Amino acid sequence: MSNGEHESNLPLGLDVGTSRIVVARTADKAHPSPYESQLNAFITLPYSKLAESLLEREGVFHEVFGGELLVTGNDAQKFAEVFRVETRRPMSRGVLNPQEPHSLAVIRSIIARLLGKSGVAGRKVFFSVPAPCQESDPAIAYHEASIRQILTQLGFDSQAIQEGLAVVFGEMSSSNYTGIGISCGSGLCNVCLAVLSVPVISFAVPKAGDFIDAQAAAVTGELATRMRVLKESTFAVNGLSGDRVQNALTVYYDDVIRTLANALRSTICSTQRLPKLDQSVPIVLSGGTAIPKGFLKRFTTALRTEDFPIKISEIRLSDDPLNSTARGALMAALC
Amino acid sequence: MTVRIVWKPRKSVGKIEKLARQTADPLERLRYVRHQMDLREPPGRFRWRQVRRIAAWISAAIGVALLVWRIH
Ligand SMILES: Nc1ncnc2c1ncn2[C@@H]1O[C@H](COP(=O)(O)OP(=O)(O)OP(=O)(O)O)[C@@H](O)[C@H]1O
Ligand SMILES: [Mg+2]
Repeated sequence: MSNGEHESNLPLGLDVGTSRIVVARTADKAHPSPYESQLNAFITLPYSKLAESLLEREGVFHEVFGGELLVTGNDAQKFAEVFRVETRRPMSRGVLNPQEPHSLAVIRSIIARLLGKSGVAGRKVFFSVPAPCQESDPAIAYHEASIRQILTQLGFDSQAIQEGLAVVFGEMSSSNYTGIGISCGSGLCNVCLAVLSVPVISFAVPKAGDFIDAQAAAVTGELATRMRVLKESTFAVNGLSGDRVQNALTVYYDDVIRTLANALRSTICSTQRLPKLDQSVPIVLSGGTAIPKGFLKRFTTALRTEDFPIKISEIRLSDDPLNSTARGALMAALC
Repeated sequence: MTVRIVWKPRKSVGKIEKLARQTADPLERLRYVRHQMDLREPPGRFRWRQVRRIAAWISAAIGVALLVWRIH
């Protein structure tokens, strides 16, 4: 738990992502860095005195939950290796994972650790939620209500903000908050076209980092976790090579990029009563999946800006892709 | 009140843009832009509702005036 939170009443931004939960706060003495994150993952171990004392000795945050030991957040990754178990994820495709009975308990534990209890009742926090993939996505309402309930129980006054809009708030001050914010995350690519901070189009594409890992693993016979590690360490989106794994990652990265670019084009084309945009608008890419070298170039090519339905002034990668959403949520909370 | 809202000249988007650029701090700029956009109501629907309301008031007033005139 963050001790400094007890004294402060400053608003917070919270990015509740499929693979990471990030909090953004106004930096102060207690928190010199404005961002703090935890993996949105957990492991369970059968309860035993020995395992519990080991976790206690190592200072690992854990909970006893229905006869099991629950280790959550960054520690889950570390101890998955020690205990030789697979990490599990409480969220899938941007929302609570319906297949996972522990999902709420895990997210509650991680959020409580990152935010602590609100020192002052009603401290403001804005948290990210995904946009629907189709016209409507009923799972989002349940997800949003569940996160809100956790935050209310911790004493916060919470409000949801769509992830794409948070990216616009976090990244687009130079264009007066007009432009297209895209977060290419783990479960989804979230998109928002905003005009002067007002969201006009929001949607999500259900292909992102997890899709790449799973598909590349399926065709190479490797584990998805290994694909993820390789993707995050050495991978670049720069065409096919002699390496099998590299090629599989490239193919599915290309699939994600093409799907995203096509969805953006077709959604804008099919939107009636789009406000008249006098000038061209920027696009900002953020999220972990946008990080590898070559992503920006491939996306720019796939978008075919020459005949895109609205004029694009620039396409750029966020300077801090992993914290963009949390930063935007904080900006909204501070408004 | 209703009349003031209907006839109040709404700040154009261009003007909001221009004034926003004078604010260097990103947060202040966001606050300004959001506030200005909040003041702008969705034009079509809102205006028609107000116009209909005024038309109803005017016809009611004319009706009352005619009635009073007829009685006298
Ligand atoms: N350096 C990197 N190179 C390539 N991929 C990366 C890198 N860092 C993170 N990723 C990938 O980015 C994804 C996580 O990104 P991010 O934290 O933005 O997602 P999230 O917010 O948790 O998910 P979502 O927004 O979909 O709910 C994962 O698929 C991860 O493997
Ligand atoms: Mg995200």
